[in-house]
Formats: sequence, structure tokens, C-alpha cells
Amino acid sequence: MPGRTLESRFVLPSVTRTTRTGRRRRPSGEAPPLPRPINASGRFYLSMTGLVLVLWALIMAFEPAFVAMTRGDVAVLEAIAELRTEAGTSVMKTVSHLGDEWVVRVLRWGTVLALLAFRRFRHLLVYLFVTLLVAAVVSVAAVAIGRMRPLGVEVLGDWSGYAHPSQPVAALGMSLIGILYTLVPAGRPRNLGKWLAGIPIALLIAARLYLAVDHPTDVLASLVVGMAVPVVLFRLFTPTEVWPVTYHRHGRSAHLDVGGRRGRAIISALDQQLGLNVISVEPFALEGSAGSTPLRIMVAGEEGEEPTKLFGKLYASSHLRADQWYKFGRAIAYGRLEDEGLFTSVRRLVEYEDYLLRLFRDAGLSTPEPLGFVEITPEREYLIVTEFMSGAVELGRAEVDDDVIDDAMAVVRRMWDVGLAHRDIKPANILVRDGSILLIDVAFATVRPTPWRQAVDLANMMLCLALRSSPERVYERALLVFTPEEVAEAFAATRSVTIPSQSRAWLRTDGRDLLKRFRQLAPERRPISIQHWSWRRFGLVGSVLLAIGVVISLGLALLGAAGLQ
Amino acid sequence: MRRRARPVALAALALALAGAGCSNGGSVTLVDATPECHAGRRLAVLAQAVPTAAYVPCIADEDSPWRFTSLTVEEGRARLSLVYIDPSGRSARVQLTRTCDTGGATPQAPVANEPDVEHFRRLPTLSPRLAGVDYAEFDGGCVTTEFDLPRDADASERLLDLDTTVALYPRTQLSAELDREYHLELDAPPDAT
Repeated sequence: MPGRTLESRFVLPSVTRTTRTGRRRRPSGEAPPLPRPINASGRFYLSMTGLVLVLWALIMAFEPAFVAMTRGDVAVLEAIAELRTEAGTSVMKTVSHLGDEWVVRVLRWGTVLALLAFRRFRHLLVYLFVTLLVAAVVSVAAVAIGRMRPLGVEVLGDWSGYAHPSQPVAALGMSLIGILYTLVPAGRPRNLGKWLAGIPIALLIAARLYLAVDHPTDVLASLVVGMAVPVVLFRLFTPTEVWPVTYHRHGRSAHLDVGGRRGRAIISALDQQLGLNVISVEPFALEGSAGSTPLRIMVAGEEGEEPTKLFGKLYASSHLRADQWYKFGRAIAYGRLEDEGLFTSVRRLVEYEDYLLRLFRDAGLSTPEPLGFVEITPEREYLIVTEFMSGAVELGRAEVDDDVIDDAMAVVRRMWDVGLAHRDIKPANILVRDGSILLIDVAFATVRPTPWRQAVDLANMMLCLALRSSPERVYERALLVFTPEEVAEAFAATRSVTIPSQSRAWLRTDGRDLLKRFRQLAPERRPISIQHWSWRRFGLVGSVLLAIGVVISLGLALLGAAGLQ
Repeated sequence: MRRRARPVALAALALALAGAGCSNGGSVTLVDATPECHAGRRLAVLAQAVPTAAYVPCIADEDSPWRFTSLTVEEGRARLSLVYIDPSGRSARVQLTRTCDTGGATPQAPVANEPDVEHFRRLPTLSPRLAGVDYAEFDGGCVTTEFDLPRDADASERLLDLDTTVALYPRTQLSAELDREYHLELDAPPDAT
């Protein structure tokens, strides 16, 4: 195609009158915009863990290695023992109580209760898991190695069990690291906390070596198992970028922090993958969204033009899991609500929303123009980008006249005719621009929905409109495109659970019983049951009850192993 | 990454559960921690628990129907738990302490090779179970063996098996062997402080 540029060969969406910087393909092997954060210190900790494992293998397999290590350790302890004084011994015996079980128990229960109080359940689960893991590793290693207390030096302190690795040092270290990574915000406070946590650990180690209760290699190995391993696990399972520890709330907890590394990664991804020259990215309208982090993206305009606003929705695996748990809970409570399928990955979720945005537009329905999506972290974080609906206002703030009601009814009718259902019709997802209805947030829409789901869409739209006008007026206008029987079906299908939580909240605030009024206006129809009993649901409920029983029994049995009992 | 993290998490959980079983002294053990009757680290830690004891209990016969299950050791006390090989509820507990109360126990015949050890037995329950305590008292220490067996035809035989499974290891011998291997003394001279 001589003389044709790529720009002229492929027609871009009309909304992109923005500066295009030229896309760049990420070469094989290059890190994604926001790689998982096992950084330099993480690699160091992993190396230390590897070294400890090698050491353990050596001293279990080769007795000469064990003997050499013991003799080296004792030489150090003998040198330390030379420094013993009566007063020093007295002080060190007192200091050694830092490793007492009750100290660890208080720290751990305090952490668990604080995490419950702050409703930081992800951190709590990871904390319990890491605590159990460390306790188990220390216990198994101690029994496997079976090391005696130091020989040749008088042991002055209290002890129990095998010497290697040092159980009290590992337990205190794990408890303090647990506090730092679940309760202390990352950055300066946590860095300061690390220094502070180092003080009791250093004191305990000094005391145990002075009293010759542990060998030096016992405390070194326990530092790795009790501190380095937990740090790596906390970074892996509760990365700050996804699960930040904060005490000031912006919007809902589901929203991700888009500053720092993630902010830079977003700008880089938009530049390289969509060719957008991004000026700024900031959270936007957080209160209306719980399933993603909505963003306003400012993009440099073409020469001499103002910057362009774009809209983005950032999805992470935390959002996906929240959606999966939400639907799981609904499946237990109501049976499968006909068409509630699960997304298996964040990529699938974003791909689906992108596809549906295009499908809605193909059907002539007004939705934001999609620009595609970008990958922030493979399989974990994606950002979908659309036009920013400038000049549009949410239904909750718009003036709702007959034209708006008619347009809204026409939109629902069109969805019925082309076989689509939005499934999340609420004030925040309905925008009004120049008297026309625009639908946003189509991520959970469905193609070829059940009649029940279509009926629910109609009822939800009528409720939203009635909140800004009157049920009589909405009913009257609805009959221009729907039959009375169809409206009756819509309200027979509607229950509290089928109404989005935002609409329910607004209905409560409004005070009028709009649902009842619509049912009075429409022909009488028996409610449509939403309870679906099936073998699957019986199995699901049974499995959940069984799992709860097992978890409670196991939890009680393992509390002791985690040092909490 | 998520796919890779799952097996790691499951493996860790399995290790945690196995480890918990191990730490609780249950029958699930990942490693053989039997304190056998030869000089080594496991016997050394038993000896360190009661530094005055002239003898240390150990497992003499690894092929015995009595199986070692766990060792609990702390300053002043060491305890070995054993169970009989069949699941009929036979269990025994061997404990080394500095002293023991042999009052009311019946003296037993001395055992060959242990002239400085006095043996006693107390049998408070003969039926429906054979439950009691054997005492081995020696200089600076005492080993008590608590047993609890169903009273059937082979209870006495099982008790004899238990006697041959658990032996006493002389501290002097252990000390000499550790000194030879590690060039370190089992019993360090008391520190001035």
C-alpha cells in the first residue's frame, strides 16, 4: 500500500482527537508497566531463605558439617561468656523475657483484634496463614535437626525444646513483622517501625546469646524464618499497591490508590498501548462505584486544542474476587439468579466490558465510546478507557421531564428488542445529556438475557425515573412502549435483592413506597419467585456448612500452633 | 502469577498442617526424631534437661512394637511418649526428672548392667486396665515410666516389651563420646556468675 500511513489505513474512534504519541510494543522479556513487587530486598530475603534451607540440608545430611557449625558457634559463645558479669547476667535474664510466650500471645491477639476492628480481613487471613506457616516450619525444622543446647558453655537462661532454629526469636520476629505489614502504613511509618521493631529483637538475641541458651546460627536461622519469609509472603499476598494499609478513607475500600508506582504505570501503559499522551490521572466519582476504581484521565489535545478528558475504570483481581464472593453469597441465599455467571479472570472481565460497550453502540444504544483497554499487570490489573461523557449529568441530578422518561423507556425497549439486559440500572449508571439517556457501566450486562432479567431492568429504570418525578407519570409514559402486562411482570419480578443498593438507599431516603405504588397501578400479577432450588444449591449450602465446621475445628486446633492459645 | 501462587499456598498449608500435627506431639511426624541409645544430639538435649542425672532414657529397640511418637524437653524435665503398634489404646510416657516420689511403690529386682539404679513399681489399677508407674532412681535423677494398658492376655508381655524398648544410657559414656566427637563438654563447668 504505497503512500498510505497506518493512521490512514485504520480509522480511529472519533473521540480520540488527542495527541497520539505512537504506540510501542513491549518486547518479549520486558517487564509489564506494574510488575509484582518482589524488589531487591525481596530477592535478598529469598536468597537468605535459600541459604538457610541449604544449611539445614547440610547439617541434617552430613554430621561433620553439624559438628563444625556447633564448634564455631560455641567458640563465639565462649567469647561472649568471657564478658559475663553478675549485673549483666541479671539484666539479660530480665531482657530474655521478651521471648516469653505471653509476650508473643499479647502481640498476636492484639494484631488479630486490631485487624478485625479495622475490617482488614485480607490482611487477617494472610497474617494467620503466615503465623501458622512460620510456627510449622520452625517446629518441623527443630524436630528434624534435633539440635541440643550449647555444649561446653554454661547455659544460664530458661529453655525448652530443641535449639535450632530459636523458637522465641522467630515467634517475636514474626509477631512484630506481622504488625508492621498489616497495621502500619507503607513508607515512612513502616520504615520507622522496622527500626523500632529491631530494638526488641536485637535485645532478645543479645540476651539469648549472652545466656548461651541459643547458638548464633540458631538465632540467624530464626531471623530468616521469622522475619524474612513473612516479609516476602506479606508482599506477595498483600502487596501495598493492591491492599494498602491506610487509616484515611477515600471512597470505598475497593478503590485502588492510583498514585505512586501504579500512577506511573497507568500513564506508561496508556502511552505505550493506546498511544495517549496523558497529563494526569485521578480518581473520579468513587461513591458511585464499588466494583472498580473509576478515573478521570486528562490527555493532551492536538496542537492548539484544550486537553481532552477520558474516563477509565481500573479493574484488579481484588475486584474480581469481590464479585465472585458476592455472587457466591447470592447463589447460597437465592439459588443461582438465572444469569449470574462468574468471570474467571480480570482480563476476561475487561474484555467482556469492552465487547459490550461496542455491542451496545452497534445496537444504537448510547454508551460511552470505547478506546480499548490497557494491561497494567498481566492477569491482575487492567484499565478500560472510554470517552468522558462531557455535558452529561447523573439522573439523580437531572431534570426529568416527559422527554427524558420517554427516552429512558425507549432505551429499555430497545434492549429488550435486541436481546440485551444492563443488569445494574441505578441512578449512578444513567446519565442525561440534552434530554437523552446514556447508559454507563455495562460490565455486568448480558446478551440474550432471561425474560425475568429484562423485566427487572424495566422495573429498575422506572423506579429511578419515579425517584425524580412520580410513579403515576412514569407509569403513564411507560405504557406508550410497554403493555400493562409487561409492566406488571416487571414489578412482579422485583424484590429488594433485585434492586441495586444505590437505588434501595435512595428509595429509603425518598420515603414514598414507589414499588407498592407501581404494583397498584399495574394489573395484578402474582410475584415471581426468585428462590431457585436445585441439587447444585443443596450441594453448595451443604459444602459451605461442612467447610465452616472444618474451618472452626481446624482453627481451634491450630490456635495453639500459631501461638495464640 | 496467581496460578503459581496457588500451589505454593497449598503446599505451605499442607506443611503448616503437618507441622502442627508434629508440634502437638501427635502421631503424624515428618521426620524421625527418635532419641536412640547412642551418643548424638538428641540424647545430648535429653541430658541437658537434667544436668545432674547419671542416666538418660533412650529408645533401645527401634523395631519394638512400642513406637516412639514425641519428645518434649525443657529445663528440668524430658518426656518421651510411646504408643503400641496396634490401635488398641496402649500408651506409655517416660519422663526424666531430677527427683521422683517412690513412696508406696514396690521395690523391684535390680537390672543387670545398672547396679546403681534402684527400680520400683506402683500398680494402682489392675482391672479393667493395667495402669501403673515404674521408677528407676539413680544419682541426680529419676526416670518414671507411666503405662496404661487394656487388661487382656498379652498385657504383661507388652509391659516386658516396654522394658526392653526403653533403656538407660550412662551420662559418663555420653559425655565421653560427645567430647570425642565435638571436642566439647556435655557438662560445662559452672560459670563464675
